[in-house]
Amino acid sequence: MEENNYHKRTSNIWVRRLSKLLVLSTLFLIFAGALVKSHEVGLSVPDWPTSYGYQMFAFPLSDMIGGIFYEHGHRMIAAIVGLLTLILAFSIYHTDDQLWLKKTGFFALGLVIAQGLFGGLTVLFLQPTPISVIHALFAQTFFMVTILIAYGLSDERAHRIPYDKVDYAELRIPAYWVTGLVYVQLIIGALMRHTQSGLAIPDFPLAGGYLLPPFNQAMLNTVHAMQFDLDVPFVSMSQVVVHFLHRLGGVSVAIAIGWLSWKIYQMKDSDNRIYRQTVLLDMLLLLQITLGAFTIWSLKEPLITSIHVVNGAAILGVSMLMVLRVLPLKLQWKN
Amino acid sequence: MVVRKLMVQMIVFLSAVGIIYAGGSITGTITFDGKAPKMKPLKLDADPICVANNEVVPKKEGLVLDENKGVKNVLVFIIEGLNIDYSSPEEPVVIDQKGCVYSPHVVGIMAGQQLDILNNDGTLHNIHGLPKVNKEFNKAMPRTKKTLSMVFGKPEAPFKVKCDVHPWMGAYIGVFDHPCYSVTASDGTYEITGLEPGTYVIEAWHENRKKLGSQTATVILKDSVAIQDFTFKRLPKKE
Repeated sequence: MEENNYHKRTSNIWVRRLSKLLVLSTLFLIFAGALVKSHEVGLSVPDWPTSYGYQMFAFPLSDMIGGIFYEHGHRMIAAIVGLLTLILAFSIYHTDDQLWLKKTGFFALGLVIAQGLFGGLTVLFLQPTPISVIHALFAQTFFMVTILIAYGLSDERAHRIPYDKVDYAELRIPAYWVTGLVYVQLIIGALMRHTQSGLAIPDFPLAGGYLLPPFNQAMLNTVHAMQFDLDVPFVSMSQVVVHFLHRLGGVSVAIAIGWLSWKIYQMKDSDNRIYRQTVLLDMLLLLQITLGAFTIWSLKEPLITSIHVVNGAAILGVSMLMVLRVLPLKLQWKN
Repeated sequence: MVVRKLMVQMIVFLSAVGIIYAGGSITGTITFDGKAPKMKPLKLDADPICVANNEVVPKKEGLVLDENKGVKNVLVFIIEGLNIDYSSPEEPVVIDQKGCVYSPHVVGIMAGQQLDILNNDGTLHNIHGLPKVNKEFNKAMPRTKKTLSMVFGKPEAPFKVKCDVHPWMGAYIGVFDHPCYSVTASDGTYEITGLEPGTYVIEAWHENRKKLGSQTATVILKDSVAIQDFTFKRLPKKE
């Protein structure tokens, strides 16, 4: 493969590894955060930044019971992710010569600090919905930034041909659509979770007994009857609408991924990495639809629901990487 | 003969005084009509102490019925018809946390009256109240803290109190500016005492009121006792 002289650089191997570790740690942190919400234990530790008066890492392990296990565990993992981001930002600053990457490193640091503060505010202000939704969105945004940094540092990019032999121009639009739609879908998902609308439509694949829900009083009555039998809380019509938007979002994402996949499978000389990535994206999508169905059928069993959330983040991450891979190098990385 | 007459008059007089002192009462039974969902046992295994503190695994308390479908834990209270200014009593209302459930599950309290929440579990709890009129609160209750006391300043419709450490724990508190309320016993019966003759509007509040509908009734108390029963039903499937 032709060497990329356009961006001659020597990223330290440990910095590269650290960036990948940060990506995986962030994904795990999103999973831990999803467990907190799925168990509805976000306020099980009423104080912040201390935990029942203890400093973060001085809290007795024997007291990590019930909801505290998830909430305090989430805080500890978040602190580790914050520390990794700090080390990465300064490592890039000292070892890399790309200005945009240095800036992105410090942007990530600012983002993770803001994210920590929003986490604290959710505790201190007793989980107001807007702050909780922003906290969820910052998590996904930060995850995308970590992928951007990891790709910027990667060997793959260092050896990428500046003017790609394979023209990925026709993949760019579908890749943008997939990533954009997944991001919007995650916003709706966060809104759904933080407005207690996860079981607003308690049946699947039908919606309140309908294939195409009419959103009238008769539908709401049917939904309430189902919720009575299942012993889950009643909801309002606005919650039903938010829930249905999430289902529509899922359909949109599936169509967009199908479009992107079809384009890639049609290409004769596509990069093997992109081909494998598409297969992965399709598998994650199938898994996501299955998890979404089981989230409803299991009445939001916390582990299934949390895997659904983290798998959604994984789809976003893979889509983001796809965008980075199909973007022309010249366009992307000008200092 | 005179002594006998005096004795009879004395008995009549004392009875009358007794009735005036105790006041009249509204009583009744609250039942459920229809097929009720089964209350599943609580999953307590997130905290071994909760498991150890229960000989029998407690069930959910969303709709507790006895064999005659009497509904437990309905808060019945007067919403109209009282013309007396009541002062809040000295003795506190107590909610205990034992076996990682709240006991009692539903309470009424007067504004200004002290509420004591006990922790007899020997584990960590947090007390997270969700009032709308009074200020929402979330207080830590480590195992060393045996009592948490608080006072609600304003009357308010029943609201939930929960423990986020043990998410299955929930209790409901109604705050009133009068003492004329009652919580149904396990057979669905209630009694509101200390009432003067008059016309009252009463409400029967259940934590699942969204599912069961709100119930109010106008009661005329002429004698010492008026009876007012309520029947909760599940909402119809389709209109």
